[in-house]
Amino acid sequence: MNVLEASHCAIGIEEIAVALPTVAVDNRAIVEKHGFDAEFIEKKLGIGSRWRLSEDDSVSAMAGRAVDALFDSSETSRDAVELIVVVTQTPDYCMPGVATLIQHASGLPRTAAAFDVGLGCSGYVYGLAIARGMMMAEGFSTGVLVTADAYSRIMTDDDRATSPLFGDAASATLLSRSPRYHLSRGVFGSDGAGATSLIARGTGSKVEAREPLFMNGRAIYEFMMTEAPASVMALLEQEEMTLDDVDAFVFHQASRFMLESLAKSLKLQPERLVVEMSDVGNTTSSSIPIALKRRIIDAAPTPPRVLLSGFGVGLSWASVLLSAQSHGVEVTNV
Amino acid sequence: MSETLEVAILKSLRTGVAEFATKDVPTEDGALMESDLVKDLGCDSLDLISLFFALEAEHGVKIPEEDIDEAQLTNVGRLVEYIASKK
Repeated sequence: MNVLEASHCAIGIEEIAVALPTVAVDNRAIVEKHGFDAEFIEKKLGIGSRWRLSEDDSVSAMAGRAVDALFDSSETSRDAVELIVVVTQTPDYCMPGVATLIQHASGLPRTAAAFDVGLGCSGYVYGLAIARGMMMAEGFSTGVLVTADAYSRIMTDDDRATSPLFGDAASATLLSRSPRYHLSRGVFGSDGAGATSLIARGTGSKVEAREPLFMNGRAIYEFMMTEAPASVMALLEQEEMTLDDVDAFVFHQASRFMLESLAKSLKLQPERLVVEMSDVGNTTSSSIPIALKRRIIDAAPTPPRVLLSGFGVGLSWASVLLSAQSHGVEVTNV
Repeated sequence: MSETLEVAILKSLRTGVAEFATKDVPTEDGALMESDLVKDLGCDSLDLISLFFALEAEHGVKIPEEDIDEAQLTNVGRLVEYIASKK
């Protein structure tokens, strides 16, 4: 089914807001600790600095600031919200989830459905599909999709693989029936055989020693280079499009090296690849909405067609195509 | 393991290395075979990941992480021999 004909296009992205923590970590400390070449981090990883939650901050508070920023910049009232979906793998508590904390703290209606989704770097695309699906099924008009993670709480600065890479961040996306961008059907995938490639042991209910976040960089690279291009091509085939029909590609901002490898694999021109992570690092589920906000939503003119693809912990991956409201999209409201 | 096979592997490795090397890549095959990907050619850890991924795909072999250290596969000659032995 083509995105231009799909009835499920009725619900899409209206606005995005971002919230970052207050503790900035530049490359100097990481270079000193691990003996990295500064140029390697800045140019190869594409990261100049990243942000960490302060000790007295929390994922729910950061997520709440993203929600507050969203409604500060939108004409939509908080009272209109009927759905709150929070994508996070580092909630404040094992229970309750972050979504209900935000509902209360940000003054969102008690009539709103609110729940968490436990996904990482694929989570934004999954979250869009989950929120859109529930809004359609329940006849909702306004939803908020939040992404929020603080990997700083589960990793150690002693780890060369993760400490230069990850940054804490949150985003809030307003989903409505008068969107700037409509959503296509998604393409999804998962492979638990690779679960230990990116894992934080001892942080759940399984009885085992707590260990810092572990990442097998080589396994993640191989996974990404195998699954992400296939996911992109499957989506384009589903939408009866080609790579040339897409104006901008917003992949999960894993690292500049990863993004450029992916672009090379797909033979994308550099100008169509969005790389937006130099001041935030790899912000997991927030990386796509941050790049989307800064480089697409706030762009003038906005590119007509944008492909999103997220891939990471799980292993899990998902892709979706966005089409600008002004780009002749015919929508059947449901 | 045939000499022709090793020459073919070295040729593909030379192409891959040329993309990542930050130091001069020897034009003479014998000198390249004696080179270390990191120390002599200036490849970093991400380059190695990408290079091994490309070699695995091109030659249909799997290079387990543990073999990279044990067999000292950052040495070009050892890497060529390793891949040839797996085919």
